[in-house]
Amino acid sequence: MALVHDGDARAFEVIFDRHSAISFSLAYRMCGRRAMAEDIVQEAFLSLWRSGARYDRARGSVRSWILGAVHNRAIDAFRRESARPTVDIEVSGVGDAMPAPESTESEVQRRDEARQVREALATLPEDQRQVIELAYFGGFTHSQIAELLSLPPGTVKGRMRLGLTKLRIALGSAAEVLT
Amino acid sequence: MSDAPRQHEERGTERGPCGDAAAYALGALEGAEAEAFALHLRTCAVCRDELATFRQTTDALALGVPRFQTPPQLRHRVLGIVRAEARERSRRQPGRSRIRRSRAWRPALPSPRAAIGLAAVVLAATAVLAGVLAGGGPSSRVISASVVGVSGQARVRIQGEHAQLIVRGLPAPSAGHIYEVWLQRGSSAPRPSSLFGRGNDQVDVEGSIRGVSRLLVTLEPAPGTSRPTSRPLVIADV
Repeated sequence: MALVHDGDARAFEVIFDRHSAISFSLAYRMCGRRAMAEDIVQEAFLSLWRSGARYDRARGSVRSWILGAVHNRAIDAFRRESARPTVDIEVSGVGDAMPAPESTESEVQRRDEARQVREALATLPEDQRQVIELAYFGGFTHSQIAELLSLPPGTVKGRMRLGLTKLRIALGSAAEVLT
Repeated sequence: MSDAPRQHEERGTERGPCGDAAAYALGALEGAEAEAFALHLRTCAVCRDELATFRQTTDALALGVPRFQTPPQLRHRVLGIVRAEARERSRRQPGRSRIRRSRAWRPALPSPRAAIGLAAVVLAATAVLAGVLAGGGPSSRVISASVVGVSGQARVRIQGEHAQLIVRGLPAPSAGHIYEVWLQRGSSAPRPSSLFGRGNDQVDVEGSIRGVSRLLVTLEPAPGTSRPTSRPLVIADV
């Protein structure tokens, strides 16, 4: 990252190749449209490049920073353009994006990571998992979720808090390793 | 359970932003609520710690999505832009180097005895220094910026279409936050520019300064936002 700070394009290329696939996967999961996902990822990486890598190191790893940037930009896009896909859309992986190959050791590791997270999510009570997924992947505010589910806003916030706490416990020490 | 967390929990159930860390980490607060919580983080260590913990968990959520390859055209586009900008920076680099070396040089003051006789020399040296600071190219100008609500000083150095923001003595951003520079043209919405994370810094402003009427700095949740979520701390009328 120091080389990226110094404007080294080759160093940035390494960062891009290391983190662009998961970034695109997150953006695509959130918006369901390849072109929009590409724009979001492009904006996030160029922001990192143009800031001279002056990202907040207290935010964690580079991957954490980039995924946060992608997530924020996807939410901004939803709220700006009402471009959110309908709630019941499922990203099946057979649309216009190419699934990641499954043969390399790093891809095996990534599949394991994904499996751990999905298994941890599945341990949550349905009401907590639902509000977390609507917020994180759907980009809905707590007020919108409250309206969708006919719940008091305070209840939604409480379920988010409890759900994230339980998810962290379910992930265990994996949460620190994964990020 | 110690008093601080219990009191914190009670505040969260009664009123105010305590207790919003989970919603904030999920991106589920909007507008004024998000801004209020970001400001609240400056004074509440419990919420800061809680947010850091929740963010680790929300970061892990991203890893559970179905995995896809990076579209080749996306890679080609992003790296093409980066390489072009790197070449442009490299072309401009010699000018920045001269500015940095000049700031470190201090001309020796003439002794009182020689003051009169050397006055013309001093004036000439100053003119040379100004020319070196300007990079030998288009004339540069320096604008003092207003710093609002926090300690510190700021100024903007403009040379041609490029600007540099110099800040001194601003408070270091709290955990989870970063300073973000915005460029505003007339009454249009401010557009995001550079990011920086230190109270003493010299920041190359991203984007052309041409047509910009105002440069702003706000404190934003890292890694920055696409729209300001808090009041400007630095304002420079360009």
